[in-house]
Amino acid sequence: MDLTKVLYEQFGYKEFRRGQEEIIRDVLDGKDVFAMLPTGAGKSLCYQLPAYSGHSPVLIVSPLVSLMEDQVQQLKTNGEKRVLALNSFLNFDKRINALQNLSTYRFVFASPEILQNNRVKQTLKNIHFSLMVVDEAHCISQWGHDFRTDYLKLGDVREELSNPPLLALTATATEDVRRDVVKQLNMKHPALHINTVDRPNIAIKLERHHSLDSKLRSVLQYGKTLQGPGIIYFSSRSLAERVSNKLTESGVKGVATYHAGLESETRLLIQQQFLNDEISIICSTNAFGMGINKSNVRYVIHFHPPSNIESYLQEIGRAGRDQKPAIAIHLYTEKDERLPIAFIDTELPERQQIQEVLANLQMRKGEVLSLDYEKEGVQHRLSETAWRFIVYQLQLKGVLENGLIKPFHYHNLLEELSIEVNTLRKRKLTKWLGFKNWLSEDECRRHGLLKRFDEYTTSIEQCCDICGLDEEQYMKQEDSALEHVWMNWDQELQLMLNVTKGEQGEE
Amino acid sequence: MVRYIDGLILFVLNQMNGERTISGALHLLKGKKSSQTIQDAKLFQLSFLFGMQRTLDRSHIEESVLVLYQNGFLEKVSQDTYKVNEKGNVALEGFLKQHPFPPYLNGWKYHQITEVFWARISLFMQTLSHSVNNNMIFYPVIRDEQVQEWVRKHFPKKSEKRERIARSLYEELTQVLRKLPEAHARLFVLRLSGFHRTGLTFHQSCSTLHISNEQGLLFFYGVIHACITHTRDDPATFPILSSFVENKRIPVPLTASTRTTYSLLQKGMTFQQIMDIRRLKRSTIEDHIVEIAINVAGFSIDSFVSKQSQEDILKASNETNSQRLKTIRDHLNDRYGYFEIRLTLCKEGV
Ligand SMILES: [Zn+2]
Repeated sequence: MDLTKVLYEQFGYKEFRRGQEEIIRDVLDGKDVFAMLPTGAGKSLCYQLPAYSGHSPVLIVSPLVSLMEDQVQQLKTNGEKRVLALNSFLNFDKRINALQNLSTYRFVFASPEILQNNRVKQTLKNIHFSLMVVDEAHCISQWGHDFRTDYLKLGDVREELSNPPLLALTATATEDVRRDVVKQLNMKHPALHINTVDRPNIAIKLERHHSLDSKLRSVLQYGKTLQGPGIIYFSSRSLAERVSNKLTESGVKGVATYHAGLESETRLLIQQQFLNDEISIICSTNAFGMGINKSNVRYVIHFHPPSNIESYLQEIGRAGRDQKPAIAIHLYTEKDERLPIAFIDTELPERQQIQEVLANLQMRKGEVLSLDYEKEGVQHRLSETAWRFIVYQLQLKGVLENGLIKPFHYHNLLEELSIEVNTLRKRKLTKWLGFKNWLSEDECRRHGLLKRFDEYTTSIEQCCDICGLDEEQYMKQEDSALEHVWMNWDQELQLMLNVTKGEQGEE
Repeated sequence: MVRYIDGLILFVLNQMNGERTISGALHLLKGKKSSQTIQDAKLFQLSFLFGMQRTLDRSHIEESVLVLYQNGFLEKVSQDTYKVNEKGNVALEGFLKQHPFPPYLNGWKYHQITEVFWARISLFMQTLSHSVNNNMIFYPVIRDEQVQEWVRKHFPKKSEKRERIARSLYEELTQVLRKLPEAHARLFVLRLSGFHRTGLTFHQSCSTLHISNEQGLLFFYGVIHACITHTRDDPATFPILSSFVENKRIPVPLTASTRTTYSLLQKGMTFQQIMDIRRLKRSTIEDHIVEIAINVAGFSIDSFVSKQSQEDILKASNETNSQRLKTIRDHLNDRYGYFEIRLTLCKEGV
């Protein structure tokens, strides 16, 4: 099959990007495929093109509702009408309706939670999917940096759908995570496409500071002088807001804050403004970026460290998707260490919380437990990840069967769970230490990152601050945010609605 | 006056006349749906501000009260209760002259339909703007499925019709906006998204106008309420804006439990019968009836308070220059209960 022709006709691209064609060929051959492609390398094309070559319908499992919505919106924007998203945001009547017409769709997106719904499952069974895609597949592994217990059931879901060929996609997964993914999804002799995690057009700079103040001075300086658009990552909302305000006060145009505490309408507008180059700097918590497909981001600054190397790569990978030069700058002080460690702690249940949950469940033997976080997890002051962890463990140990609470031995179970928590904590701490070591090393930054994925680098221009870096070329040449010329509201409305005054004889 | 919010709080405290704690003011501005708050809104003529500062919290209002107190605008009546004094009144007059309230603002009447109106008009406008400028590739600013569905259903299919609708929408909007202060119209239009730019977030639009978020909220709601008022007064002149109003008949804003009591009353049941059937306390049913009296135009309270009693109570309220139940009750030597007094004051809206 002439894939390049399909590529041009459907997507308007003249050639494939690195890795895409090989993956697509294996998918078209009906093989199970595990594909690791760096962020921004065009992962979604790997299932979209097969869908347009007769491999449809395609079922795509996606971990985040926002991510799913963005992908659906992108397809629709490209003129695709036969696309459906099954997530809990649809109201029930519409969901039933959509389900009955499922066979008329080319792309069906589903959250892992909704695949647990029996009616959804029954309907899906009647459809012969040509391909099942698991996006962000590293979420299935406990050793991954973004473990989601709902993902674990995807192996069963696949079996119930009479085993369609499977494509597992991820941007970053270490060797142990890859093996785990393949096992959990029952992939048979999968074709492995492990592409380098390296993004040679992104220069890497690590900057160590003695104090928060000096870090603040530095981030403000960068915000003023670097060529945007850029993203600055923070662990705390208040610091993100503080830096954003300071930049605005010092005359930088088009700066916005983005975090999960904002209303959804506001978040959407800021994303759009950023995509359309109406603003140039986003000061954000790590809530920003999943599903943001912006090609011309010129820099990513980390004001705080993420808790592992995979997250770091994912975040800097949002720069330079247009393959033009971009830079990633990490600002670090020793004190920053507390943040990832605190973050890891909130992701795991404390012993006392486990005791509380178990004591509560013991009294409710025979009841059906709602697995809903808002209903159950919140009352034990557990974070959502911690709650999901407990539920997953209880299911694994047979204490929860289809939500039904079975009798159990309190002390034994408490000890077992505590051991699991400790193992996981150690894993996560090890991952953090791996990243922390990188922060304290003094060798080529790129080499340091790649060796953790068993990769080696050849020397490139503009590699990192150790190998030598000409920072001048990342400095501001032009304003990256288009400033809208505002007339008065009346003229603005005329422009917006394309009406000219006086057409109908008034004024 | 340093900040807009301080002036707003001063206004509310003045209306409440030292007869409610600052919690009462907070509940009102946040739009708490309790009988007490709803009655207060009516009693102190603050309905138009009901729910118009949803994001306000206790610390904000305490801070404002502290500022006002330190400026010597307030007298402390008792714990958490303040009365605006002479000096405060002068300041308030100045504030209101400088910042008159948006003319059509009506929080209590329209709070249920405000958000939907905004969601519909902003998505409709974005879609129409792209369409008449021949560019249908865009990300919708509203993700709510129901709103998207609504716009799909109401969006004209033929391109000639779209152009016609665009012109009409322009005419309708300018008719409303011209009657409003320039800054209010500007803030509203800044927030709309079109083919040539993304709308500003609420916060961005306030910064652009150099006003506080609290003031911006009143501007913004003021414009939406102006649109809704025009569609209600003259739907024929504003057919497109009318279509954005959810349900042509705005539901009488009653809380769910009160609605049940109301339907039983309409079936002719007595107070006692309703108490028995609903197994609710007397005081709860009383709250319901007061809420109904406030919200249902033409609802007669005569079967609960005799005409004569109503007159006595109103007279007492005038003589004592107070809406405070206890003051009035004392003045009348305990001849009437709180329920009768409350009901009379609310119905009259003194
Ligand atoms: Zn290097």
